[in-house]
Amino acid sequence: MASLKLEHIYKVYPNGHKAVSDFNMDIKDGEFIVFVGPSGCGKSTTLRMIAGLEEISAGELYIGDTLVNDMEPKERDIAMVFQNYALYPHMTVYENMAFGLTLRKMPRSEIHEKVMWAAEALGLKEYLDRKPKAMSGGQRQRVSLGRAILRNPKVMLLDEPLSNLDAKLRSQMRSVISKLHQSLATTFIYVTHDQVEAMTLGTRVCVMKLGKIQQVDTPQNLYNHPVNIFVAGFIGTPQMNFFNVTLKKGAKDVEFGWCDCEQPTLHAPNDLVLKTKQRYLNGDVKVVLGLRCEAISAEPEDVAKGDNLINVRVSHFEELGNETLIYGDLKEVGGLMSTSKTSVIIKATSKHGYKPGDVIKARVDMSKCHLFDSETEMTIIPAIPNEDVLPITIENGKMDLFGKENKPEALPCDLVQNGFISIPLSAISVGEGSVKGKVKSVEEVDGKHLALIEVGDKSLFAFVDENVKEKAAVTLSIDYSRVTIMDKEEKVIVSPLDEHDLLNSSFVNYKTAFEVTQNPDFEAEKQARLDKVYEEFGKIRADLDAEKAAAMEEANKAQIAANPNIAAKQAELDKMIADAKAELKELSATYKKDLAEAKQKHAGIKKEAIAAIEAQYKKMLEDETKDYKLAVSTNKDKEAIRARKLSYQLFKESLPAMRTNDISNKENALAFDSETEINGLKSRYAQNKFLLTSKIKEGKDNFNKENYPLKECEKLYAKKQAEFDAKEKDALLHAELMFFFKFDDIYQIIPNNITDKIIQGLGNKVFTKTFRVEVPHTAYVKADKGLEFTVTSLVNYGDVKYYKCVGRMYDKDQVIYIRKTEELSLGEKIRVLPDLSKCEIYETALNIRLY
Amino acid sequence: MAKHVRSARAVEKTRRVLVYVILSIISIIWVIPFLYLIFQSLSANANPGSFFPASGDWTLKNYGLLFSSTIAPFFRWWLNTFIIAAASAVLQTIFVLMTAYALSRLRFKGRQGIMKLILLLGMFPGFLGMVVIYMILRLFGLSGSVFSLIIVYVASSAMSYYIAKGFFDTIPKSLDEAVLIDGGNKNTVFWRVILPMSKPIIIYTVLVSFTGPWGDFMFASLLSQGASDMAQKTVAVGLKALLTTAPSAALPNPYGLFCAGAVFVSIPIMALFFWLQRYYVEGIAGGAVKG
Repeated sequence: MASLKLEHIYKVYPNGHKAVSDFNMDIKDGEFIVFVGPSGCGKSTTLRMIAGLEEISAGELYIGDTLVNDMEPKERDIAMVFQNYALYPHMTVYENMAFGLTLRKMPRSEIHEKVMWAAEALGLKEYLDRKPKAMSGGQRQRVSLGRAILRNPKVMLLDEPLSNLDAKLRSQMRSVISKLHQSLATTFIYVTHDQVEAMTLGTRVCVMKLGKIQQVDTPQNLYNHPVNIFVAGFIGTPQMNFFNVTLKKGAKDVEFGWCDCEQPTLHAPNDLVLKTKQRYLNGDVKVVLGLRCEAISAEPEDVAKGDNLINVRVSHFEELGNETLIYGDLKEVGGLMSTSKTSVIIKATSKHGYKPGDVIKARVDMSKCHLFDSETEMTIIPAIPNEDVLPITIENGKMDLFGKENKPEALPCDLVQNGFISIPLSAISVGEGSVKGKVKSVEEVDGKHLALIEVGDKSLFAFVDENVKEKAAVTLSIDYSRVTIMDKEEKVIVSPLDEHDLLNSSFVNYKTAFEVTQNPDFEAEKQARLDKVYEEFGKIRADLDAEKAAAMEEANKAQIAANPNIAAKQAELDKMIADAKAELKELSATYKKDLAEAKQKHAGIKKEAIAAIEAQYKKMLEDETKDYKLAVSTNKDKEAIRARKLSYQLFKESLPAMRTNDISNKENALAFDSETEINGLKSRYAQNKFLLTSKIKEGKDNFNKENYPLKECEKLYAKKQAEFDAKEKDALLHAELMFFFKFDDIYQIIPNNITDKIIQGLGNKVFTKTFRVEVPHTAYVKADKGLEFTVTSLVNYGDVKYYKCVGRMYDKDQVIYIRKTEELSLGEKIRVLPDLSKCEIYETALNIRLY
Repeated sequence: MAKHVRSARAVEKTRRVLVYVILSIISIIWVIPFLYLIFQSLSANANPGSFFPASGDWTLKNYGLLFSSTIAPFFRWWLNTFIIAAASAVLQTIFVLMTAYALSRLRFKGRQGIMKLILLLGMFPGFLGMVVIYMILRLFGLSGSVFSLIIVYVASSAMSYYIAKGFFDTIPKSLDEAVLIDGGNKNTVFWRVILPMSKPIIIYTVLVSFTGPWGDFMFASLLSQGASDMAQKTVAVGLKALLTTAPSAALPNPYGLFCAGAVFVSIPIMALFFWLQRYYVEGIAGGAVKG
């Protein structure tokens, strides 16, 4: 049992194709996660990367707290169920299930117990001696599940396990898997392209498309709050209806106008579009309205309510028994054969007497509607808005946003009339600053608290702490460096300051860096790292030596005590071994005899059965011949005789084929029985033999332990010493490895954890790549041997201020902004380095995020 | 209607008769040389021109002489060849299967290139390298013994990986993956899962790599030509030598002896084939995956 963490996982093929890009996900212990998406969306690749069957191009994968990128599949403690079962055909069901444990050298008795437990749980007990080819698809998949669960893995991976089964078996197996998850309480990751499986099984579902995550959420939320058109269309059958509409926000409500057809307008309360950007609400911009089939009602009692009615021309019906799907079109003229932008599907309780071609009235439930941008296809009524858009006016150095105030100096605009300002939610800090507001409502979304705050006549969304309650008075501060200001035509006047400065660099090793710079600091750092390892391991070594001395003394005493009895004990052991060997011999003899007997018995049965069939056919032929001869001799009609002759010949000719067929059917049927019995004999023999041989081995081991404690103790400590030495060597090697970022001609040591991630992602290609380091404005530290910049100006955004600094890198001017924390004078030369732990690091060629 | 059926049946019947006649003729043509060999081996005097020995010439002496003659130590040749062929068969099979597995399952740089190169090299007859091979063997001081043939045959064995690779390609990869997840490594996959499933292809490879050295003349004659010792020959070379030997008191009918030897040579191949063929038909890949 374990949690999983996937951080910036990429799969890039040698031809540059990104099968999975920037996959981020936290999976909690015991969750049932389903990856779903159309074929080629990267879901199986992701699963195979978790399993270790596919290399991770970049990013980090944690199972529990362990980084497993470079671990073999067997070390990851996972189990996998394959779409095509992947059972070993030459092994019986028992052996198939036991194989993994045998490879892990688990004692045979324990294996037996586990196999029996899994077989019991999955109803496979009576098939244990069969081979996979003698089983049905459902049974095979159960064996495959059994093989997976009996190892009690940390994570169960299932790769489309039900795709090869027919519909009925599929639903049965679905409940088997669901029950398994409940009883095992292990983390399950399940890949499927079937959204029904995804919705019924998953505690959370991850919808993917073209290698990217579209949405990760509970099935309920996916259904009710899809983030984009793809998710909305993928989840739910029949598919959601999509129409192009325009929205116009009025005083009382929002009016929906139809783009592709003539229909009465729809109306929804203004609350629906509270989080929607203004630009969608002016009545011109085309947006996509998504309506599930149950959000449109053709029931007479709903239609009678009279509001939000549309006219639907019926094309045909699908009757599903308890309900009826009405297919139709919103256009009242034109063909009905193909699906168009105005096609609609309605769920109804019955046909209500409608006929194809009728134009009927249907009512739209506006509380269940979804709205999407027609270009980006993203929802425009998100649970968490990205930004607040508010009206703004700027003139004469004054800004009218939350009442009149001084315009931050750095905003490069002097005159904006009736424009808009867009403030990212993350640029608003509640509890700081001077703007006063009142909390209107607070909701919890994805563990964050989102508040709607009223300031004067305006309201905006912001994140707040959990202890901020409704109606509380709060203060706000806005980071104006991150706002966008637009005029009334929504043309951008002021763009936000970039969140990061971009520095290009390459990756070099210690030798190069030291050779070039001769910087004694680097040498000292390396020595310090080595010293630390020496110190650490020196302490452990001393402990180990002391422990060994004490143990040896103890063992010596035990040896002296044991010495007088050795001869007697040896005799005892010899006798035990001799007995076991005799028993083994007898066992083998019985086995051989039983096997021969069984084989003979089955050969006999087979021979008998074949003889019986042959006799039966012989008799059939005789009867037919007799009958034929009789018919020929008694009949006078020539035509009848010819017909009889013909049928007789046909019978004679087809007889051998029928006989062979019957015989081979019988043989096959008998082969199952004999194989099962013989396999049973074999596995029982193997098990008993193993018990005896392990008894002998155990006896010897125990004898040595009891009678030669000194030797055993020496052996034990030699092993411990070797382990320790290997560990120390490893640590020293690791300490010696130091890597650097080269910014133009300046070298900076990369912290170990970041180095690990970069090398993880790129392997030995790391030295040939270039990197983009994105440095936040707060992440610069002064360093004597850092990059040189000249402070040129102070950029004042009111509450936050930045120093604009210019330097030369790679023969070009490099501008950086440093957030003001201490006083710097203009024209001053400073030397700084980025604090890499706060930066983001990208590989430039493939644009892969490494840190 | 009835008439129509009858005519179709008649056509079918004629067709079958024709096929069987042709097959019978072909099989007779195939068997004639073998029968000729047997009859000649039973003849006391060399008479290559006629099919049957003359009426007074029937004898079993040639077979007796095969195992008693010191001038033509047939049994020794037979044993030499058997050892060489058996050793080559075992080693070649292992190499061929391992190469095939590697080329079927592992993905490495130059994999395609190597496969094409091997195909290309296979187009040149092996004897083109004869001189070089002889020199190499001499360099190692191995040119004096016929058993060096084992090295010659085994060294190029991996080139016949093609059929085995085709077979391995049909075994689903998910089996390999299942083993890796179950806790095995590539060795476990090969020895404990792939090989037990590949009996037919193993048998095929053993048969092919046994019959090749068993009947080879080119390399064998190269390596035993210098040796004056009659014991340093394989059957193919030894029997060829018999053909050019003039009749003498000790060997009254070298031609008959040659034929007797030739009959005897076919025995191990037949034995091997009959022993292995029961595994050959035993397809066992069923049930691994959805079938």
